[in-house]
Amino acid sequence: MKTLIRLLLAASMVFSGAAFAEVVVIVHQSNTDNLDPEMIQRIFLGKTKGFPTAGKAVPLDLPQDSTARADFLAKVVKKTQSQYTAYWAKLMFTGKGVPPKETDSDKDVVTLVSKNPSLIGYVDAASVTPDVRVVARF
Amino acid sequence: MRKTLPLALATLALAPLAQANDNLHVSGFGSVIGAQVIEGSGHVADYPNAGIYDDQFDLSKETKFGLQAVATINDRTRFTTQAMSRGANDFEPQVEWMFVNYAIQDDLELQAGKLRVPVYYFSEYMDVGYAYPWIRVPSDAYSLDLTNFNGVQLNYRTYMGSVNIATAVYAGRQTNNSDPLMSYLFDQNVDRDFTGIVGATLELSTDNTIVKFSYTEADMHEEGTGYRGIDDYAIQFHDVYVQQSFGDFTVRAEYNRYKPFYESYFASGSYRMGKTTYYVLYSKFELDEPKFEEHDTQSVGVRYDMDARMAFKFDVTQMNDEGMDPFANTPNPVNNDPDGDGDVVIISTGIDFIF
Repeated sequence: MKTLIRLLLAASMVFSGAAFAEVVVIVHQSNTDNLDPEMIQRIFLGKTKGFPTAGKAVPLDLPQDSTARADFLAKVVKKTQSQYTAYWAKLMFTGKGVPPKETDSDKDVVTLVSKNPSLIGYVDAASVTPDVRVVARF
Repeated sequence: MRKTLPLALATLALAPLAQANDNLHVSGFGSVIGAQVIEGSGHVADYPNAGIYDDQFDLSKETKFGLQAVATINDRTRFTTQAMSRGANDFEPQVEWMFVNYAIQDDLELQAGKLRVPVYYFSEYMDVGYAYPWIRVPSDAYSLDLTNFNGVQLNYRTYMGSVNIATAVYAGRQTNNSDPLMSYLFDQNVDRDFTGIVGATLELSTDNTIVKFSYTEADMHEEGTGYRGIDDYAIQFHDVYVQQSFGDFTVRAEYNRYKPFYESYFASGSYRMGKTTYYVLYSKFELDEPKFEEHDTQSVGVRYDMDARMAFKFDVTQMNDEGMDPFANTPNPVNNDPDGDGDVVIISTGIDFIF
């Protein structure tokens, strides 16, 4: 009976995991800063250009059709896709900032972040490798 | 139209470079807007550029296209240029912005060159229709003819707890030869020269709230109007903007006072349902001379986000003119008609995009 319950619990976790993919925020292995959601939000809105101690912070975005991007924007940046695009358009066309570079895939984000201590990205939790450090989960 | 060619060529020339060179970022925005006055004789939809509609559907008054290139010179320095082609200006391309940014510190930046005077909340991006819900910024409250200036601006940003603070100070000058709005209103060539422009802005924001103040002053020398028999003015511009979101419902309001000429303001509510945003808007312009130029506008409209980079808009606007009718050229103080023949109903539709 206990085994059956465990199996059912495990199965339900798998299903809920599929329905609500977890998004993780990743940085370079050498970056030991702890980042709270507000700090991550500021970095992705260009309001902060550096990590607390680890130097320059450069955010990376996933493609516009990615589910992880929509989740990340809703949970951490607290904006819809079009609000986020409009926000960056305002900064861009008034010369106050250049929006985060858009990468092609989760894999790209992981590879880029693993090689560059200034970068910070977000990916689906399933895409993380030990080459990067996870600083937050949403 | 012939003059758009250099802009098109520049686009073609820049496109491959943008891919080849990480130090160059090319982007742009545009709007294709058409409108028609269905009741009344004519309507000024865009005061600074004199975008004026009549009773024929017209796609040439507010349609515009902007192309921007940002070159990163080094970690601290960027060079930006933005050219725009506007229907209201026969699509002749003009450089709207051209400046260098230098980051003195991460949170302190100097901009120098041809910039926008940040008098209104939407001043710096009023041409980027994609960035706001309405089909156009509230006409009555966005009529200042001093939009650009040549000078320097210092931008500082910081935060305290969850409140973001952004402040700017700026100084410069601007010459408007054949000022489009004033030359239209006075039916003769009007030149305006603004010197000693100095100003400051302060913006406080949280996730749901924005409050912004601005103050600008300048000396203005005018050739042509003979208005009040004066040609030198000390002008002052005060502005305050507030925005508050309650979930999907957002209210925005702005008030400005332009000494010694007029005051204007607007208030708007918008409600977002998924990709669709509905809005209502009220704005008013009132010249200091009673009943000389005075009008208010009510609009209802909808924005639909077709794509993350493109929005469709539709708007119905009614303007109530209490002052002189600039189209019939009947100065109200003489031919007083309090109901005004300048009353107008206008429908507008369009698409905004960014890339």
